[in-house]
Amino acid sequence: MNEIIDITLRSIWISGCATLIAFFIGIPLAYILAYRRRAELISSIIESLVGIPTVVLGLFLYFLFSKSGPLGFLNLLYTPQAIIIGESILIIPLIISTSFRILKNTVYIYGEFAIAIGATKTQKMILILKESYLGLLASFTMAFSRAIGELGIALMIGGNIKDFTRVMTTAIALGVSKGEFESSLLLGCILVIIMIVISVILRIISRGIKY
Amino acid sequence: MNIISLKNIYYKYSQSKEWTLENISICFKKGEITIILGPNGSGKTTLMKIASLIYRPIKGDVYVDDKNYWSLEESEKLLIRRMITYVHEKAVILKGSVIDNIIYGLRIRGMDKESAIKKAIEILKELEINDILHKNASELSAGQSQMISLARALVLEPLFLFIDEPFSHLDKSKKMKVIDILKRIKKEERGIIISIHEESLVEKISPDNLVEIENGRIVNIKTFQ
Repeated sequence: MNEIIDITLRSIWISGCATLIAFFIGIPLAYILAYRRRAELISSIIESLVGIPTVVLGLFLYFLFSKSGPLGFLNLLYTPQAIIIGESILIIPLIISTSFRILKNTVYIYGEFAIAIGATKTQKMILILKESYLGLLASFTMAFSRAIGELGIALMIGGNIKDFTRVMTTAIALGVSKGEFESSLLLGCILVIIMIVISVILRIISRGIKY
Repeated sequence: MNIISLKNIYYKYSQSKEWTLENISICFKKGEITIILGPNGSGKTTLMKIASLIYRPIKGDVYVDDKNYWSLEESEKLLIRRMITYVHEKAVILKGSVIDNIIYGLRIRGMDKESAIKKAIEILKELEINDILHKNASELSAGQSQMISLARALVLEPLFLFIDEPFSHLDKSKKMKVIDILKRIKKEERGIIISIHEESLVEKISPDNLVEIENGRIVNIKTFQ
């Protein structure tokens, strides 16, 4: 049981870090994109990256982080940090594409309003982000769910090392291959519950936010 | 700041092939009410947005007194922009309460919350809508939203106030209330520019100038005594 708790907490920590990193990279990029007049082409390219198979990305990162790879000197392969980087890369397009749609609409309405009322560029940006926060929270939740539920990256560059890089999805895969269905099912249930709980908590927080 | 002058203005939207505004030259002065009258799609809103320094014209110049606005430094532009307010036809409502909406412009100008609320309450009383003070802004009707949008502009005491179709969602008594307030503002030596499409309202507002616009061109300018 202790091992399951340990794996669960590690999964939340790794995916949480990856989502936070991706969020702080993705939101500014989506904001810049929302201001570009002809952003549809860039947006379409980013959208196509949302569905990238995790094994393909995992394989690419494996070659990048392996000893003979260009980033081999960082010694990141088979570490939690490698999974965090991989998951961040995986979900950045998801955060950009979902936030871009939300911000584009908000920029159109509130960007012009901010100019009309005499806001500075920073005040305008704060206003736009405030008016979009519900959509951005939804984007965060989606990205976290994608990160915690992915398998390819965690397996290929995490290595599924016990007490170090084993996360829920890799533990489930290992459990099934060994015929340990009970613990795999339990982890699967926990994974689904985590996603539901995160979504509910964010919804409650968003209702509680006042200006 | 006494005058905003538009000289040979041309404007078109990125997706449009034809000019939305073509060769527009006009002045707006402090202490005057100007009505821009024209049918829907004639270019009234675009003209208002260029004159209120929101849109940059594709050709032509916008002068604030003798300064060419679009060639000024960003800090100077901000100072000028804060003396002008534009009220959108479709009210832009921010998340939060009515009072949060009204004090927004004051707060971004650095006024403390208490003084800002005090000023907002005065305006709401003048507009006779102080009963909705603590309501959530998302629960307002279209008419109430329009009044809040107007109150948010009035509380800033701008030197030039641009109002796009201010009466579209208001009942008769509210229309008269707004007209009375606009006349009061005019006496304070401030410029008011209103766009409307109903000719019947011109007489009630009794403007100093009437600008008629059609297909992006000014077809007539009347000045009243």
